[in-house]
Amino acid sequence: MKIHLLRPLSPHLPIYKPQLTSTFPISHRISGAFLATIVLFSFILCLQMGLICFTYENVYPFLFLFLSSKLILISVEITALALSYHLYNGVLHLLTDFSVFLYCSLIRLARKRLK
Amino acid sequence: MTIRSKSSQFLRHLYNKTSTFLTRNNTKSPNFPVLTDRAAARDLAKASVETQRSVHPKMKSLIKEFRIYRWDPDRPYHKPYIQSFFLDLSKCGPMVLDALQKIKAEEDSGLSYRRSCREGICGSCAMNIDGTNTVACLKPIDAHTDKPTTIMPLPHMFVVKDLVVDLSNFYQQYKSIEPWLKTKKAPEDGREYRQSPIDRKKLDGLYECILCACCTTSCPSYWWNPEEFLGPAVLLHAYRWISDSRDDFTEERLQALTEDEKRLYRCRNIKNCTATCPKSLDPATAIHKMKTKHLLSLPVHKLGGL
Repeated sequence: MKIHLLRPLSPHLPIYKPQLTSTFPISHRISGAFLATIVLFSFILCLQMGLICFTYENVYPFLFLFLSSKLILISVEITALALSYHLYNGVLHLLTDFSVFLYCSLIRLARKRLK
Repeated sequence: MTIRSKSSQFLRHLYNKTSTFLTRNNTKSPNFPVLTDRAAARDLAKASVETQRSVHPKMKSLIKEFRIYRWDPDRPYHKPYIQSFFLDLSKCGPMVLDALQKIKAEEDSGLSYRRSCREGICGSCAMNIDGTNTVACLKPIDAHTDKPTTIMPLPHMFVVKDLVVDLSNFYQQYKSIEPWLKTKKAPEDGREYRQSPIDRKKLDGLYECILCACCTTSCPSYWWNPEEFLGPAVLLHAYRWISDSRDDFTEERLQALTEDEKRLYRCRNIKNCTATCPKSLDPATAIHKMKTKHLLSLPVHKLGGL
């Protein structure tokens, strides 16, 4: 005889405090997804029109997904922010992942200088 | 135990009451004959006698609101809800567990939570307090009475009742890494497996884990894959057994851990675990070292790592 337990799942995302350590990876992912969609759209557009399209100023509303020329400055700023954040965070990620090798090379350099 | 008659008890009580009444306001020169040759202690005692009379009337009642998650398994079709309790902090101990005990004793004895040692060593009272996971016996109550304290169960776990969650999956994952010493040879002198102090120091920061499940239930990667990803606590223990010099099955342990890509490599370096550990341990670094150990054959302990 099977008893249906019906236990609820305790709340997770709405109640957990957003900390500095946890916001970095998720915003890295979100900025990466945003940049990837922009690159994909511009790539598709280039396939249709060729590289000449970048010289025409009205192509950018289509690229940045805001089809109004007034929002173009803000969307360019947001894209620049996403790009710079993704770049810096990616470099930091690489450094932490390969921190072992960094220590290795630093120790070798220190030993050479001491000798 | 001396036998005291009722009349002598009454006389003793009367004497005590009159003496405290008469000496209540005497702050002229409290001599502390016990502290004759200890000048600093005597000054401290004098200062504390003077301030104690003034502190006591100033202690107003501080009413603090606690918002606690409730769910009754006897009424399973009712949704979980948050209940507010108001507590006088001047008549309560300093830690959140003391507040919970007082609420359970005085207001609602149906409030359920796990607790055992009240000193942060058993790991039973792990819960989510004000957004972060800690053990309730080590978390002081925030004395700002204008903001309520929110007490929730550990995130993304099935709730058995109120603040008690089902940790059977967590314990089963801990069992799966085989957390015992496995050796191939008998000990050298036939009595115990010896270890140098340097090798023992490698276990510092790894063996202190109390298996409270705070870190594992704070990891978003564990929230989305609880069956496959082992979680930071279990991986910390796996690294503890891998770095134990007495254990002969290091490569086999590492190979069993990395057989499929989900047990270890679901870690995305979110580092929520290190931020929330109530014993200030570092599971993120241990997981990183294990990944490095697996990907290369460099002995990580010689280089330290970040």
